[in-house]
Amino acid sequence: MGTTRLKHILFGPSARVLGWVIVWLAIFDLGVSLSFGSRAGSKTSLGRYFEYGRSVEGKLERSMAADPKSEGQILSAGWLSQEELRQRPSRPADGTDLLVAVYGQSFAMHAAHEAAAIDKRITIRGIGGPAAPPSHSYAGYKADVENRKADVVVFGILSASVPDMGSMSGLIWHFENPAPFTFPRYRVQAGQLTEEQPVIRTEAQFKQAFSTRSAEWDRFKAQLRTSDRGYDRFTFEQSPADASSIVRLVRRGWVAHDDGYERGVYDPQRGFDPQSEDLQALKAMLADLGERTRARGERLIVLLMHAKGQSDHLHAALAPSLEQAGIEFISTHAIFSANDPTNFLPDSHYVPAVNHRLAQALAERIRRPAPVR
Amino acid sequence: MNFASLQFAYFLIFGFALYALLSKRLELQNALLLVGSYYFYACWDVRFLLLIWLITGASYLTGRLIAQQQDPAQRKRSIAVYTVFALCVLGYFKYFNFFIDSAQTLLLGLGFEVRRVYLDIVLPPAISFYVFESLSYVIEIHHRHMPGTTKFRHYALFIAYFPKLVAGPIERPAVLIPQIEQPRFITEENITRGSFLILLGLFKKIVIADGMAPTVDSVFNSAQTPNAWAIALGTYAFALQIYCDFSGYTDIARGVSKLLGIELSQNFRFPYFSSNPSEFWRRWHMSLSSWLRDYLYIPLGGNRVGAVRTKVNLMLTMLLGGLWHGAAWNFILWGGYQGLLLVVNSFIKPPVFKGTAALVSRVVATVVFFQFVCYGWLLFRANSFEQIRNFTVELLTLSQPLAATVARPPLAALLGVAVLALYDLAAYRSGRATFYRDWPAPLRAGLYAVLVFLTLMGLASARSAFIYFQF
Repeated sequence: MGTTRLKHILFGPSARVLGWVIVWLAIFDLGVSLSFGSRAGSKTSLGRYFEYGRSVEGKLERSMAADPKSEGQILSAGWLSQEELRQRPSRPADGTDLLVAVYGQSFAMHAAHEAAAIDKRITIRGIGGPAAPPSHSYAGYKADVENRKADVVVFGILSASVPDMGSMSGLIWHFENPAPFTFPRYRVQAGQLTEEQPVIRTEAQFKQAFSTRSAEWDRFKAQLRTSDRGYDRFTFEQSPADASSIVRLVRRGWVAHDDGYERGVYDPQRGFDPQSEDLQALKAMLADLGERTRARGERLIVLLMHAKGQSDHLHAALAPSLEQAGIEFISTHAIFSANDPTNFLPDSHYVPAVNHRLAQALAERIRRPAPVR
Repeated sequence: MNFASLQFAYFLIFGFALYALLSKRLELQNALLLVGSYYFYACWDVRFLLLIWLITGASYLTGRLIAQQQDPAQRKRSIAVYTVFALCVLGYFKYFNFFIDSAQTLLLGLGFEVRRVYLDIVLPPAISFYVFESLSYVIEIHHRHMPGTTKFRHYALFIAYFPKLVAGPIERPAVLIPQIEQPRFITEENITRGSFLILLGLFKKIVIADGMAPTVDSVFNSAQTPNAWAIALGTYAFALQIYCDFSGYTDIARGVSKLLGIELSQNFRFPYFSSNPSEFWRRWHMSLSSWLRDYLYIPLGGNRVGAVRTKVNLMLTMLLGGLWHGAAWNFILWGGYQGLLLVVNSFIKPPVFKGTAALVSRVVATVVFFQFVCYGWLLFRANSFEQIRNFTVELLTLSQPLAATVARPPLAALLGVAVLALYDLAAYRSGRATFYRDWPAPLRAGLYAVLVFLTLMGLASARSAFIYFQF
């Protein structure tokens, strides 16, 4: 390559323009940092928008430094510790005649509490985590058994959370607001449901490991790397690049366009793949749950809840095996359309009217005599 | 493989590096493009490679035959056979269930007992595009506008060339085949202009089209009929969505092709700055409208056959143009509506103004005509006839209180619309697509940086497929 050509590439008009593009982007980056980098700025909606792409560790560090009383913290939510479980009601409250234990996430809890508001003779014992997948709910049921004897067990499955069974913690799939609670990873191996427990299992353990970045934290990350389908070093690990709004935008886009959990499990057009590892594990879980509740004389009702745009896909995937196992269920597709966006709030929850219809169906089912098996 | 995906980015970077290494070795470059194009198509559905090969082989042989035939009657017979074959293939894959369903509905309406029958037919991606291109090839040879190409591999590349394969533009053989046969060079000009077109296309798609999608869906996927204001906002959002989705795709296609040294046709030229329907169709999906004009409207007699027949020809062309978009009655209705606009427009003699009055009348006509375009988009996007009826009644009667009950587009999309409006206006007024090159380097770089930054903001939101893939 001649000197003239090299000079042209390095200092020619295109190179000059490219250099200016970099300067402009640096100015934009700095502008965002100056405008929204302050504590007050980062609390505005635009400030939060540019913050979302901070790494998981970066966000955790900020959450732990924040005042838990004044800022919405979810560090403590979802942990399946006996201490937490023992704080829930273990028998029907005065004036009520049924203890309904609910395992799921906010969707299941909203429906259950609304059902209790409709039928005031119900006491709710709710065990859940933010957007928890069925593996968390199943582990929650097993951990909770010794604390109570419920009349009815409601097991809420949100269609959008099924692919998150490929995870072990709310840290990764809940990227925009990582919730560190952990739960086992379930697989079906040689026809048996197996359980891989997370290295970190309590909030105290988590806080200690993360704040000191101890060897246990490294062991936990190593476990996530191998056992969590969505783990990605670029999105998880903190680095000086967290300070750049452009890097944060790239990271956020990277996560938004990554379908690591859904790949091979869920397709927006075709629905769930019944052969996928997670669906197999979920069916095995439900069959096991059916046997466990039956053995304890509890009545099991599964809530199949469809997230926005997911049609009747969860019902199509699970109804045959639930019917075969003689497990009662309610599917939201028969109550409202998940493809109608007006049934959803901007935060993806059901609108109150729709939630009320689901709760009515649940309350009515709870009072209806259980079918003879 | 979606243009707006990492998979395509890897494909392009790797392919372009190989292409550059094969510089000055035309046949190897063409072979690489052909293999790459088939790989690109196979990523959608490998089964349909057989179909594209069938269309390629049949049209190539027909072209050779027509090129050798001196007798016009013989040539007409050959072309008729191929046209029937191509339309049967297209009809089977794209329209079979639609016609069966429509016939069954009609029979049921007439009181005949019929059992509903559907065939499980998967629509091959891009079928309308490459069938139309193969037809223009045999027709052009028949008219002796071009000789039949003697090298099958060149013709195969014309049909399968990946930048335009899935969603156009519908290329003319006389434009693309000579470029395939000529040596091509990678130049700084090609790289800078190509990269800009790719960036502009990604910006339109990711920032505006994808950003508008939730607003559009919140109106058109609603189980209840929204109020008139919401319907209007949803329809305006769809007008932006479909324009940016489709023209964004074309920009990326042209940009990618430019990198490779091959020029693809312009498919959009500021369509929303049109002040009447005939101008709109000279600016919107130009490769399809010129195809329909040259191979349907003119052979039907065009405007040389008297006033009434001309109107009938216009209407027929637009109805088929509507049907081309998909096997559904609302597309046919949309085509009919566009035909009606053209017919009505042919009766209107616009007043002649000068100076400021001309500018004002032009702006007013553009704003008014845009409302007609948008009502057409309502017909196009609606999920059912019932929805069209309900939305139209609500727009006319304003029976519900006016409130903006639509999902708000993200900030990036709103900023993006403003940036695009300024960009298009500047390009329109300058009359040059590359007007920004006259700007000093810092200003020009500022435009690129804004597009990059907004695209990154858009990328942070959810993804969606290109709308025109379904056609």
